[in-house]
Amino acid sequence: MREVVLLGIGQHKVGRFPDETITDIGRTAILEALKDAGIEYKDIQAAYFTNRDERTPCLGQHVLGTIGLTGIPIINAENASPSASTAFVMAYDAVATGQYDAALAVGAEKTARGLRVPVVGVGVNINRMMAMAKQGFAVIPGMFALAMRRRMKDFGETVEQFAQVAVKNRKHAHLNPYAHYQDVMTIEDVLNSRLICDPVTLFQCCPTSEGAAAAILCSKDVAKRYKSDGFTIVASGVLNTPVSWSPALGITTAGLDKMAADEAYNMAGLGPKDVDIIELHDPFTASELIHYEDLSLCEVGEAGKILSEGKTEIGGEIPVNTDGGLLSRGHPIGATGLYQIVELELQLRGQAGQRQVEGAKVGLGHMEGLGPCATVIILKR
Amino acid sequence: MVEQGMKPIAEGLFTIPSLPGEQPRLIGSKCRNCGRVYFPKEVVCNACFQEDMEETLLSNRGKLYSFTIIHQKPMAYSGPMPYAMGLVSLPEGPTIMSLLTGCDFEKLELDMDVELVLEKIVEEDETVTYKFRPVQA
Amino acid sequence: MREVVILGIGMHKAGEFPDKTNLELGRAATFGALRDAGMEFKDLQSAYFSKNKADPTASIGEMMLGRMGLTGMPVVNLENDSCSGSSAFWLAYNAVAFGRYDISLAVGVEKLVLPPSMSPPPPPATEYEAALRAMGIADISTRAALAMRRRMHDYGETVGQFARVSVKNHKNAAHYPYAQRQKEVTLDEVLNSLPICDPLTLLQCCPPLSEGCAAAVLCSKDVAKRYQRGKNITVASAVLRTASESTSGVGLTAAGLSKSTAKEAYNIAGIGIDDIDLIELCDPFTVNEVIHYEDLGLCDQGEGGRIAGDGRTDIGGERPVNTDGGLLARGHPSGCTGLYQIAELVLQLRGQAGPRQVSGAKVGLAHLEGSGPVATVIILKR
Repeated sequence: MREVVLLGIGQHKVGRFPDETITDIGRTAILEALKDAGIEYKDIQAAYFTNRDERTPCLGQHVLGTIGLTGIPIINAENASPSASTAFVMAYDAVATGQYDAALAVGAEKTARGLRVPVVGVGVNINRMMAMAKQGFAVIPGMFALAMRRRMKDFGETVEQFAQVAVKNRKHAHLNPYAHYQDVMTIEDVLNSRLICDPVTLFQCCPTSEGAAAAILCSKDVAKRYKSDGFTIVASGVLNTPVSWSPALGITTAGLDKMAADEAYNMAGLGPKDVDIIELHDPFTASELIHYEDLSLCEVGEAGKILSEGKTEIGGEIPVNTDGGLLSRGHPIGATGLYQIVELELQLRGQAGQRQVEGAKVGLGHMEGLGPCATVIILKR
Repeated sequence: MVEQGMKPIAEGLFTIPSLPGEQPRLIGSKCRNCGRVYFPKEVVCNACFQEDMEETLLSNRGKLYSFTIIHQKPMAYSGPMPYAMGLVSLPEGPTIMSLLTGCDFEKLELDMDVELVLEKIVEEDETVTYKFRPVQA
Repeated sequence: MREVVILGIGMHKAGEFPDKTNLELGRAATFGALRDAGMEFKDLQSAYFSKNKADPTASIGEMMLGRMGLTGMPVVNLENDSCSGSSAFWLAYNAVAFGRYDISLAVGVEKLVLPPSMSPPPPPATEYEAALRAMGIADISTRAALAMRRRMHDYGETVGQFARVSVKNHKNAAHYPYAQRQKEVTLDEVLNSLPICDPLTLLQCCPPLSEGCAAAVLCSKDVAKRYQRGKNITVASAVLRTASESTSGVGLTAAGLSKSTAKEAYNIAGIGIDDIDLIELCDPFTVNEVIHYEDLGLCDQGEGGRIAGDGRTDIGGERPVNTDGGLLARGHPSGCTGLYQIAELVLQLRGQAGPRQVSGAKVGLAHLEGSGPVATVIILKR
């Protein structure tokens, strides 16, 4: 496997864009990434495009077709929340194994407003599906409400601590002009927001967002043609699925994520202590705490404690979700994993402006989603 | 003929004549860089990828590249059945899909001259669209 | 690059299966392919799962494969219109060829989970597309009809020549238990079937609804030795391409993309059309088969119709095409059509195609083209 360089990044703002099509949004991110990398589109040899909610086939071709027609292979992929990070891992694998010298990963999303319902369409026939629809589907925040209750009993975590996750991430997003929600809020604001499913309140859920982000990966030889200064190296790119089924999966700790993180640390030859910043999957406040443990930032049961100590804030020991995370930067599902890459890269280059983490050299991006599946990517400057 | 109060099927596809004797025109875009012409309007040129397009009115005459008579009612269509549609090649370059009107199905021929008209799709509805019909000899 | 072997193939029948779940289809094809390969689920190292973009299920591949075994392997879900299945194959092939994994699964499923009333077609992408729909000129079948009429004008082809493609492909499928339409049709039946858009009739179109599932297990040559029970079928080339020049000129009668994709595949494999013994190609409508004869080099531009009429692409002819019935008769479950093509080529190259067997077949080619646009050409050899 060859060393892989992250040559360029691009992003569109996250939010609601009724006047822009998915092509407009995706194009903005790709053009910015090309410019940032200093590479021309004709030098890109393959593209991995992800989107979750649209139903038009071959969206990647439509979006990239407005930038150039060069005949390159384009794959339209999807992997629930880790969709865009899957595109990143695919591009990474293609460059690392020598299949291509320069590849593009891009994710773009347009989506409907409102509460998402899990569409579980495997192993059920139409009649059963209709019966389930009539009864009302289980709602995703419900799973996390269960997790919160369980953690409160097992570890003594409090509703204020969960709310603190949302407050922290919003404080970070306040400094990120690309974030979906940027107004600071208090613990009271979070706890007094609309009750979704007790104890999950509205501001403890990520918004459904639109946006696009892109990354260009290349071999080191190719990178030298475009840039002479320091490169960010992709130290690991892991995509996996579970090895065992547990009814608690996703509720207290998700063993899958720990396995992916351990594999990524191994691949990079690094440990959690070596990581300076983290972007992790926080669709709900409880998820952020659960994943502190999965990524080995603390022992199981201690997540609430390290949060309260301020360790995961900008200025703390290991800042988490410095761009606002899913909770505040937003969760354009088909693009989120690449927004994480964009943030990590800005931080590693020292270009994160007011939210800069001083001296950040190693960053980790983590996503988890339905399937289940998980990705962990480590970047190193 | 187009009367007052009729509304176009989509904005920006064609001009509606305001004076008697004036002809409707399709609205396309032309790339200032390479000269390629598009219908409907494009923001980015698909040939040279420049974002330097100007609006241009297209000829209201073209040649029938191919045609078909549609016998099965498609979704979202509520006009008469069966009906004719074709591909019309315009002198500026674009080949566009269009309904065909004012014709005997049996007398349609490839490469025949056709001209642009505005017509309703459904008699009871005031929505008008562009169509092409054979040029009267 | 390493040599890549197709160790196993598996299929569920193509057709309409309202009483079955997608998991039943998925298991039939996946375990079929594993059995054929002499392998267990736990031996797989990565999986590429193709589907139709309209299927709303998130991470469908993980959910489905997770009910066959939990091994921790990476699973990617993907879509590339009609080329979805062949794109999954392309990913699996590259993962093995470039040494990322030793054993990969390509599997595709097409199954209507929600009734049509709950899954309306995707909304129009632009106001113009909405207008085309309201005018009743947006359906892809109209493009096939326009292409037929133009070719009849330019090359003197006849409706009978197009219809002949349907007769041939139905005849091939009649002896294939996995095909959706297993019934021979006559030239008169094709010509007199329901008129869709003149001169296109119903039996010149692939079935409007096809469900199914097909899978292939790929591995490196070294690994194949551990499992092998017979002759290796190797991948001589697998090429996936998108448009390289503007298609806004409406290339109705010839598709340049398929031609350039085929050329690259021939180059990589180091062979030409004369070396190919049989072909699976993209025939959603009869006219497409005729056009692709030219793209793949079976004949010169303008001669496709003549070939369709003279029997040389029949089983027993010089170079049989769509021996399993093609999209027209085997069916077109777009999430996995490309993998049905692979399965047919493998059966033929192994000499296991029964009454459809092309005697002495050593090299086979599979071709698909989809909106986007995208095209794939895969060449397999014994």
